[in-house]
Amino acid sequence: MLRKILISVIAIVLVTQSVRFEKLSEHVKTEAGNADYANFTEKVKNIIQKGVLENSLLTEEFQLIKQLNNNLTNAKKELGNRLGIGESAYFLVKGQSTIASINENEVQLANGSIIDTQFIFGNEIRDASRMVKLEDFKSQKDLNALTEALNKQVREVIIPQEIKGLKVGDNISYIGACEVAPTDIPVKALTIYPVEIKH
Amino acid sequence: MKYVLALCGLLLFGCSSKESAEKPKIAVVISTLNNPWFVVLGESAVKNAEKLGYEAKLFDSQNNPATESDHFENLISSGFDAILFNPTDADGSIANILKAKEAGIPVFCMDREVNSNDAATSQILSDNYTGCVAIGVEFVKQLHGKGNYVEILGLAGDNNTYARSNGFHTVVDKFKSLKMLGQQNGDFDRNKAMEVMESMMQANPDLQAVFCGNDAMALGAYQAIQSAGKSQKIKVFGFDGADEVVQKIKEGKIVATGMQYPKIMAKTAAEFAVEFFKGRKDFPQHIPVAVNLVNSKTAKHY
Repeated sequence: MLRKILISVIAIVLVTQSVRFEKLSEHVKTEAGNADYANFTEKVKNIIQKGVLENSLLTEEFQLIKQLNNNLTNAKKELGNRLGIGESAYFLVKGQSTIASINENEVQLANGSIIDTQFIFGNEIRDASRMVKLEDFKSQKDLNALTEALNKQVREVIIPQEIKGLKVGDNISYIGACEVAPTDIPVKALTIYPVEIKH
Repeated sequence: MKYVLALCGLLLFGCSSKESAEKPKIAVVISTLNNPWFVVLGESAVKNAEKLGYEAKLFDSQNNPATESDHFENLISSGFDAILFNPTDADGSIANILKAKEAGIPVFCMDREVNSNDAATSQILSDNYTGCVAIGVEFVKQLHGKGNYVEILGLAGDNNTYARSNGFHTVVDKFKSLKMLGQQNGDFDRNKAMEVMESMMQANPDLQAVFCGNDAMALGAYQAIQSAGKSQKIKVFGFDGADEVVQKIKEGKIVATGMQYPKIMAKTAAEFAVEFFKGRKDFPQHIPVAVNLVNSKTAKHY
């Protein structure tokens, strides 16, 4: 009897050790959610400060729209950037306007442009800053982790503080990044992913 | 004697000029040609290599790492000069690339990544993560940040499967009122996704959306949803930019997809091979190729 019990216990141990069950959702969360943001703190700070706020490529919104509509190819070369291959490019932009309306996702400006305050998840700020190079990353995963760390800092730390108390009719100044594709031409207004909003 | 020497010289000269006139050969090795998307990738690579003046030959690995390995053995011994490669396995294909590397043959990966930073000469890949970030944003907007959904993943162990899912969840998981009730593999296969969707609908009758890791699965899921009479209730999101899905977006049947550009990846890989032959040795390890969001507003451009 004891022998049978021992054999059963050994069999159970062997089976549980040899077959490892992993939920797909856990695998996904490990890759997506637990990126080592600490490693990117300094890089993120530099991109925001030097790459965006102090960048000489920061262009007044009306001037940028004019250049985009005049010659998108030249505007891309002079002011834009994109890591990798694609038709659109990312640009730095600054401007001033009055708030026409506000909702949980965005601030609509009187000049027609929109400041997206919620969906800051893309490559706009990273690429427009020209501070990130593909050669510096050995895997796509590392590059994506930096992008998310940068966006997270802007989306969850900087912007919520800066939009507190904003109301319709306020005059604001703003700095951020935007994406422009050939199909957007002629550009009348921009969707801006902000790095700074001042009242 | 003079004539004999002249004849030998002529023969030698003749041989060497024949050799130099021989076109360098590029192999295009594709994971499977049983999927129209990969057929476009493979045929575009061949076409671009030929356009650039090279002889090119297409190999089908039939989603089988052993077949892929045989192809590599054969094309190394057959004297191919470069390989434009769509791997079957992110880990298993590394050994094949290293064999080619040892033989001095550059390998340019297309669309599918291998888990090595120094095996391939360069990897030209769809920016799956960012493309699915854009899908995630569209998903949240369409569902107004709340509702129940399921996800149909591609192949377990495939990097693109996880890159797409990660991009999507980077956005969607921030919205706590969006609840994922199920997540299963559909193996990038239309029929399997249809079966998976049927069973997930039975287990979760109150679903508002499904995100699928490719368009074949989105079409399978849509078919299941339509058969269940729920096409007005469950929103379908895909990824790839298949013609049939773009058409369904225009008809309001599917909400969105991410447009990939296999022809651009193939063209870039062929051009890189030529640059390699001309002496360029320094390539970025990863080149992301943009994926564009296709929804009811942008579908007219495609």
